[in-house]
Amino acid sequence: MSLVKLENVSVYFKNEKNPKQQIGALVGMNLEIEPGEIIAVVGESGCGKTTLGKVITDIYQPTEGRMLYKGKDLRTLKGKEYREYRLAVQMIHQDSYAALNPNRTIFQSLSLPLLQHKLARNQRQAWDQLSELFNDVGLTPPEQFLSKYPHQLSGGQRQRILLARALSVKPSLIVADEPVSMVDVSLRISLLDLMARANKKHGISFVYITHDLGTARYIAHHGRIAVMYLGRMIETNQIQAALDAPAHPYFHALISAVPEADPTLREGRLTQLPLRSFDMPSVTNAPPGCKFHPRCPYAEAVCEQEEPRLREFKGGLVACHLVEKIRAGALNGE
Amino acid sequence: MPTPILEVKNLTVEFSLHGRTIRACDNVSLTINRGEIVGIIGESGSGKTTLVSGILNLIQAPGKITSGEVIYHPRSGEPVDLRKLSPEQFAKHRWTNLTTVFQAAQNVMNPSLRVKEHFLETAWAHEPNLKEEEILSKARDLLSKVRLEDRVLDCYPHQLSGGMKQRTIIALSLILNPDIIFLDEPTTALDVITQWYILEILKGIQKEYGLTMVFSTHDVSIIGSIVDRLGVMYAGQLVEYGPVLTMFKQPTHPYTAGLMTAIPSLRDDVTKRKAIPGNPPDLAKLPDSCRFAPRCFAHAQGLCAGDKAATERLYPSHPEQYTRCYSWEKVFKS
Repeated sequence: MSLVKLENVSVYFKNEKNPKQQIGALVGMNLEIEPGEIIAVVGESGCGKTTLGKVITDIYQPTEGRMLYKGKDLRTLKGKEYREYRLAVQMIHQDSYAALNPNRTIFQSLSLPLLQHKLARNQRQAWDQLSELFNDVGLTPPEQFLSKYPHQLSGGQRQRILLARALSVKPSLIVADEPVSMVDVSLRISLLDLMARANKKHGISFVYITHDLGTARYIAHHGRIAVMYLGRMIETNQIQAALDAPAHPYFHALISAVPEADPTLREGRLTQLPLRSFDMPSVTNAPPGCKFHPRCPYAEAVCEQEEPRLREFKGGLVACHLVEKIRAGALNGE
Repeated sequence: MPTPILEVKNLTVEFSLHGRTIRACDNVSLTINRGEIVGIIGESGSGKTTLVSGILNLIQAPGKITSGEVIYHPRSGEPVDLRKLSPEQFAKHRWTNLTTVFQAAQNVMNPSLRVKEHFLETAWAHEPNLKEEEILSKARDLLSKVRLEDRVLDCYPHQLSGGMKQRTIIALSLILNPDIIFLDEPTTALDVITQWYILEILKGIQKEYGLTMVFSTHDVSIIGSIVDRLGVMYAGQLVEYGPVLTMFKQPTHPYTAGLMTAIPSLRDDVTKRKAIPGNPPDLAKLPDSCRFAPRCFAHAQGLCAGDKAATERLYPSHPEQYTRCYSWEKVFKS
């Protein structure tokens, strides 16, 4: 049984200027997360990836569809069961400064959930448990960090604290929303390594939300990738297979745009991205049919009329009417 | 033979706060050649923004430029030391010869003025005799260079997307035909597709106008696709400077070498990526040794003593490449 399952989940927000209009931040999302799995969710800003993370952590409730935890609808969970879910699914936020109370020391902030959920009997025990965790995430010596305030720590250290906080309640799933985008480049990999280690050691599943394909590939190189565009999942596959042979034309363009640090590969850089227009349409004014068709170089009449469903293609799922045709064309060197 | 456009000599910027003095930019010297694209990389707090602000004489209290020369070689006429100019004299160079696109360019526009008014105000501030139609036709021309439509002129900043604002600011920076343009984190906070597009535009502009560009960024992956020459900053010092190809293939400073392997990309071998251990130093509590020694693999292995006095200058390593690591031959032979 999957740990968490989203069944046809949609989240609509009201447009304040025009209350009749519904803005689909997330539309018809199906996703299953197995125990111990790492899934990277990628897409540009406004694609709905954060909304997805917030649905999984029950910060947003689906307007349509159901969100299941261990096979049970979240809305039917009562008291103890719901508390169990709340502990099992944790989140790491992008802005570590905003995620910690500036008026409290790290220990005050992090001991609270332990005492509240009776994972520690008293302050002493909480201190010991947190010290052990801090050693694990490389915050040594722990007492130096536990008694500090958030502003006294660097961004990389605060992000480690957020990881320790998520781990402290022994979760089975951690949703990490852009956890390293505000961390110095020289330290990013060490944080990703810590998450990968928690995944291996404790079998914790991760949903890694990012716009950075490089770090997604790094952390999830044995896992899956889900690509989102304007609130829809448009492609999912094993990550290396997806990167080697992107099926959806949008994902192909996205991969082509990723810069390569090596200057000798400069010549290989495309002089033209496979896109008709560079600007993403606004979610408030999404086009009919396939949401990508105004930017898609392959679009045909069918793309303007009918929204493609996710269907199987070469081991993954893709939402594109023309994927076979495009792939055949690419092989013929068109 | 490349001719210099800007020579920075021993530039030092100090900030005094709570009775402590920190040097955010410590004795930096570098020469920028006409028509080149120079990249300055470094992590947050490494002094790259301070260096650029120092060159442009834009340091604000409590910061102060305590020493150094910035020699500008104009297209015609005698070289001038920008540091010796009065504010009125400097204003003649700013924006007409030296312009800048600041970090978070999305927020630099006045929200209550139309884009058109930004162009007019900027132009009139320097050349009050220009006709409105003259400026606007130039503006339209520049906007088309960055692939924006004329209607943008009549928009307010909030009506534009982040990428459109960034492109508008780039067009605005070119309105008075500058000689050299400084771009501080020009693509940070933009999606990869927009980033790709902006880099492409900048390359085109550079080619067409023969502009000199100075790019400061923490994103190592974008330098490979655009930069000719690269400077690496660490804890306020320039630690290595040289042509991008040899800097990438044969770095001669352990920090540069570490940065090059710390960035996950789409094509590399995931297992070869490594973070640099430790954290960047606090500028108020610098180690009494080479500033990078606490994080340096060569220092940890006993290959180098990290003598502070020996890191006060740069050493030539490869052709046109300079490093602050005095043990580079020993360190990079093994």
